[in-house]
Amino acid sequence: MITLLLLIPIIGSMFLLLINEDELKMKQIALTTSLINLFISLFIWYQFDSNITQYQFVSDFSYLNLYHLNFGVDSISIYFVLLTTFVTPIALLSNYTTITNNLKFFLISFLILESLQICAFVSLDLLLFYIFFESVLPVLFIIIVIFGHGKDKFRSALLFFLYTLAGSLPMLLSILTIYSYIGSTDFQLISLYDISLDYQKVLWLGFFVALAVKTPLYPFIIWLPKAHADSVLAGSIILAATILKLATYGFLRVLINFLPDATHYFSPLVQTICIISIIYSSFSTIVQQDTKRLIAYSSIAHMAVVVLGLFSNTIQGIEGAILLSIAHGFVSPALFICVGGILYDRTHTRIIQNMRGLVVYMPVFTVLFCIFTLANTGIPLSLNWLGEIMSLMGIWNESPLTAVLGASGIVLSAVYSLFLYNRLSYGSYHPSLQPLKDIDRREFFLLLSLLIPTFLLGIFPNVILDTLHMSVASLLYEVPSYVPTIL
Amino acid sequence: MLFITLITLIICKALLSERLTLNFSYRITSIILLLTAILNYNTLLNFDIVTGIGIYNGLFHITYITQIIEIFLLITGSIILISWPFKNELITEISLSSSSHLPNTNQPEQSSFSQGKEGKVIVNDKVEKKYPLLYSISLENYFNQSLIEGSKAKELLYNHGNHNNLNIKYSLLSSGRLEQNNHNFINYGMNYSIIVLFCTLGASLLISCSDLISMYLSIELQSFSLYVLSTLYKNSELSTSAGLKYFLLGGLSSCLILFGAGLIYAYTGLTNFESIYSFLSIYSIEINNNLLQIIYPFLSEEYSSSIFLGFIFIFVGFLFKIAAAPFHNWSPDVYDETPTIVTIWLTLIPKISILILLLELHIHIDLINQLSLFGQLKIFSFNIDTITKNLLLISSLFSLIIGSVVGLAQNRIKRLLAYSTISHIGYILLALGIYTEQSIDSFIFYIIQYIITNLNIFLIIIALSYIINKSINNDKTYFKDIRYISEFKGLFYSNPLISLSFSICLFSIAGIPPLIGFFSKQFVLYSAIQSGYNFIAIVAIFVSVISASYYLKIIKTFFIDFDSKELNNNLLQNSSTSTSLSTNVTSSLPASAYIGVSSSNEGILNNSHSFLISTLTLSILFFIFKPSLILNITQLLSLSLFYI
Repeated sequence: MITLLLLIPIIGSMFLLLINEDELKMKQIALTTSLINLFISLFIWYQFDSNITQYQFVSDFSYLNLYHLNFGVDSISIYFVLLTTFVTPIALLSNYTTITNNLKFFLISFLILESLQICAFVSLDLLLFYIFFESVLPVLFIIIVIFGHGKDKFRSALLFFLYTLAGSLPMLLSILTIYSYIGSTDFQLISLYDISLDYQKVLWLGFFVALAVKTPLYPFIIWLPKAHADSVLAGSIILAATILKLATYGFLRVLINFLPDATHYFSPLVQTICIISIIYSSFSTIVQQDTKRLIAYSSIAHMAVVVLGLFSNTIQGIEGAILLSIAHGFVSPALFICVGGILYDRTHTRIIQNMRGLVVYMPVFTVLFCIFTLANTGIPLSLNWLGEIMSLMGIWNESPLTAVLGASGIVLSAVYSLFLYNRLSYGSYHPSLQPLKDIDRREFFLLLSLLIPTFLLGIFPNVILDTLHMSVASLLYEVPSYVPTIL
Repeated sequence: MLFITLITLIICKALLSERLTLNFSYRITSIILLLTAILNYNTLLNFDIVTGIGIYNGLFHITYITQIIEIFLLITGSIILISWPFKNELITEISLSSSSHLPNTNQPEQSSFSQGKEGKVIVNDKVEKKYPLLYSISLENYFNQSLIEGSKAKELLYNHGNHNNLNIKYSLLSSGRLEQNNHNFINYGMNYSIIVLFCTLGASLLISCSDLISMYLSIELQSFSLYVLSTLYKNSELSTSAGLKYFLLGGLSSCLILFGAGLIYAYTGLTNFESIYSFLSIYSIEINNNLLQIIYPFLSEEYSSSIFLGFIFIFVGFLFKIAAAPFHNWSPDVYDETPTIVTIWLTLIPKISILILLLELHIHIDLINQLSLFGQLKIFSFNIDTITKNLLLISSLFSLIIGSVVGLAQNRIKRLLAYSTISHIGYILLALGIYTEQSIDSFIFYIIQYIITNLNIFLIIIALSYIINKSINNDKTYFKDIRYISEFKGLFYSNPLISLSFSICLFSIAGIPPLIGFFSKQFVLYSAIQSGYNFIAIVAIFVSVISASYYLKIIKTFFIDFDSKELNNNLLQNSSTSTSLSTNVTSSLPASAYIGVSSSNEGILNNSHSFLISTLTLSILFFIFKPSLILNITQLLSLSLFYI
């Protein structure tokens, strides 16, 4: 099944190679491919047995030796796979009409990107995880460079590439150290192995730098807003919805799973960094002028909450973090579509001062934008609310002070989101703007397809939570009694 | 086997001395190289090379490693040769068209070509108007004097010499000049293929040599042919100066090697490697014995240290030749100024052969050390093994840092690639210096990877220089090589596939995961970590990020779009007058390159060339799906060093 999931985008791009000229057909093929993939992943989810913590649907390619080329999902990774297959057709649809040059290249690169990301989520080998984690970079680099907007796109693509590469190389060193220490990089073998604390600390730091750059956490955040602002819309969607989640997945899979002692040892550090990045990025979100940069900064704040939840060492915290990262995968693409797609296509500007009073001509858009803005601030009934509340509940058990400071992020997110919404939607209509058309059918269904799961899962979170309990419970770390708990 | 190789090569040279057509000679040369590769492969199958076979009275010594690397070298050589022929066809076409249409402009060329006959030619021109017949005779004389080998021209002259038609004179004259120009290039070409054969011969001998004399001779054979190669374009000032620079510094390093060899010979009286090793090992056991030291006065520290000094000199000389870091300064200049077609040889053949030789030397020195461990732990105040090891490691550290940091400031493509080569050498020397089974495995794998990727990059650059400069240099006699990175501007929009494969190669040498370059770096790093060289591994990691930034700089330029306004202006100018093209060339090179590409036909590259590029690119891209092909080879080779 999983092999199918990986191969279908590649087969689709093969078909795309054969077609020239006919743009509509190319788009249709790409979209169909990604939709087929979505249905297959849903089918995998349906067949998934949530009562066992083992990897399921394991497909073994050991005849291609070198590393243990095994693919399989457990109940943590399946949601990231689902998110990827769900977001890819949305990304393709979001730029359905605007890309005219190099269309074939655009479609193929997104299909390959999907394949690579799924590979990263389902591979059961540390080195393979690293390989696919990194192989996303060149594709995304080329996408930003070719299809990006603005004169600054080369610089931001370079920043994006170099930051992530420089961050991930310590991870490579750690992986190689594990390999020379254990003799294998297979997930199951590593989890059976007991690594001493001193060793774990060094390894942990190597992994943490890579994942913190990708998340991104405080000192390494500069690349994200720039990459978002200059990337093409579909690129921003993929970047926000799934590429950042590679880091979340990495935290769950590697740090918490394999290096639990070091994770416990370093969790005050992580909490401090998370608090700093929540507050810092929330404040810098408020003063942003560029709408896409604003949403990028807000996603930094949300991802920091996710990391807080992950390092809470409680079942609520970790589950909440997973929920929040899924919710962020729905809401932030929707906001990018709103400001970077719908408004940018019509007004060709992303500066907030150039737009005002949009409710006059675009009532439907304003309503949807309002709902997504509220969801971004974590309004009850939305999945975001659930995720944030559970993460903070989890961290409250660990240290109440951190939870209080982390909760300030919710208030601040309300500030910047509503501030943005208010400035764009209300007030007198901006004199320099032409009358704008309201959203068309494609954009409406795009937003609707993101809206429904956000609230459906917000109301019935047990669909996800029930399957998560077993795997997450196995991740919890029993605090040794002699270690004094901090705070 | 090597003998057969030699015979075939010599036969080939004999063939070439008759004037065959140019393409034919290239094809023959490349086929012969392939044939020798196959012969080498046969020896692998048929003979049982266990610890190696000495041939030619022990002057050469064959092992599995030497054979397989030789095969790679020969295949590489034949691949490089394939990229050349088309160029000459194009040159003839262009010089034909230019000379037939504009005979007057050819005058300066001719005079520059043969200065001694300048006066004669001018006389010809004066005579030609009044006395056509006389002129034709004088033309004949002229042809005779200028020793043109092209018999075609003579035949033409004899056949048509009696016609007094001035037009025919013109055409004759032009064809004569064409023939001269061509002759010039044919000479280049002939020399090229012969010298290339010498070069590969030298390299393949060098790999398997096992004697100080044969080592020095074969390294000189290889380097001299490379000096000549780098001055291939005799008319070009740049390439001449590059050749001179290369010759002087290469000569210096040869001196060092010779000096080292001399030292060793002076103190041991031996030239064969095996006997030197055995001498040293006995020597190092017994030197601790003071009694023996009294009996044999030559067993003193002084003597031994001068022998080791000899080894160090040899190592330094080789490091000089492969442009490892403290001795790297010549390589960017030379790479930049030689024609691209020669730069391939410079980057591939000598480096690989010398590296393999270093490997062999290093193995044996390590063996001595093991033997001496058997006798007594600390033999001298310093140890030969640790010295060579530290030499390699320090050099690799320097090459890693210099290759990537200095490379940041370059804006010429070949200069940048020279620096990237230096940092690759750093990785290779790191793997060599560590010297475990794992690291030798990674060493061989890195070399193979380096061959594949570098070959592909240079093939692509040559292809691009055909494509981009096609329309620019109509009036020049040979193609301008690509020199600046900015010449690639907007390549993606005109030539997406080549630019994509180029960027795949660059990503690969930058070490981005699913590509082959990543795996080679990963193996080297893994072996470094495994044997505890953590510091140098961390340096290598950071350095690879730095070097990634300049590879990205190149990739970035592919995707820079021109302003449409500027492009339109240029198009207008071009369409209005043909002369404006040449002015445009100097003023806005990239834009006109863009036009040249868009207007050029698809058939500008010959098929085999593009086929090679695509095959190599695919092998870089899809290495991850079938890694065992190369990995098994390298693993077996490294094991064969340790366990036979």
